[in-house]
Amino acid sequence: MIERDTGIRSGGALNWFIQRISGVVLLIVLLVHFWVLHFFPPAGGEITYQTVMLRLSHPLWRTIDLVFLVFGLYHGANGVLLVIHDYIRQPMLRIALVGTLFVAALIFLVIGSMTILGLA
Amino acid sequence: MHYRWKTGMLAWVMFRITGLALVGYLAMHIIVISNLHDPAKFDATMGFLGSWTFRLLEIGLFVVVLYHALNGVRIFIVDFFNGALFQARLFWILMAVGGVLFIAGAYPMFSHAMHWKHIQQGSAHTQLMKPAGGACCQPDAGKEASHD
Repeated sequence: MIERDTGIRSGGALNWFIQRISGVVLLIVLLVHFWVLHFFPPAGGEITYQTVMLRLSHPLWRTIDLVFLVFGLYHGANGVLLVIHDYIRQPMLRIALVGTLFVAALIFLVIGSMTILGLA
Repeated sequence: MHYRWKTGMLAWVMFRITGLALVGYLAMHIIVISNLHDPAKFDATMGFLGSWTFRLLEIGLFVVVLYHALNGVRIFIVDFFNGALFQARLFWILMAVGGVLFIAGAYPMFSHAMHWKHIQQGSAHTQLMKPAGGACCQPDAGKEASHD
């Protein structure tokens, strides 16, 4: 675990591959997201509790938003991981930052999922 | 030793900066949307973020997303389709595509920011906007809660 987190023995081929696949997924979902929420939003572009809940009441939208959340967080956290590995040479600092990143990503995943599923 | 500022270098630096910016935005976005647990608070927050200042910033976000997405496409082509042979030309072609997409996308966003009423009714996505089964939420709850 420590070897992997410090990047000393990390080949990263799988991460490299998933980063590209998640990028493609994000491209598709983002297109839908921007189209509906930014370019042609219903009700004159006002985003209110009512319009959001109406949209989220459809299971397909919940699924789209969950996919967006999971892939976005993975892609983003993996990107930050890459930046940490590029610039942080000190092993202890690197472990601390990677740990913080992992915990932060997990917290945002929980907050986001609960919001989308209406559990909060 | 110093770096040579060629196209690939420029693309890489901007890719990294926009990527980090998007991570920051994603974190803020998740926190803002988590206000959905409280309808009144959500509408108040959205009202605040609906001002033209934030609508214009949203167009800035669009530029950042557009750049990151298009350069991501370039990286995909470089990695999987021997794009390294023409990556610099590809970069500028995609930036031109980005320019067109920016104009196409920024116009509706700008008109929302300026509150121009041009939103059409009955477009394709309104099918999806309909609740799956019966009422999903009290129709008047949000209305009463907003702007107080």
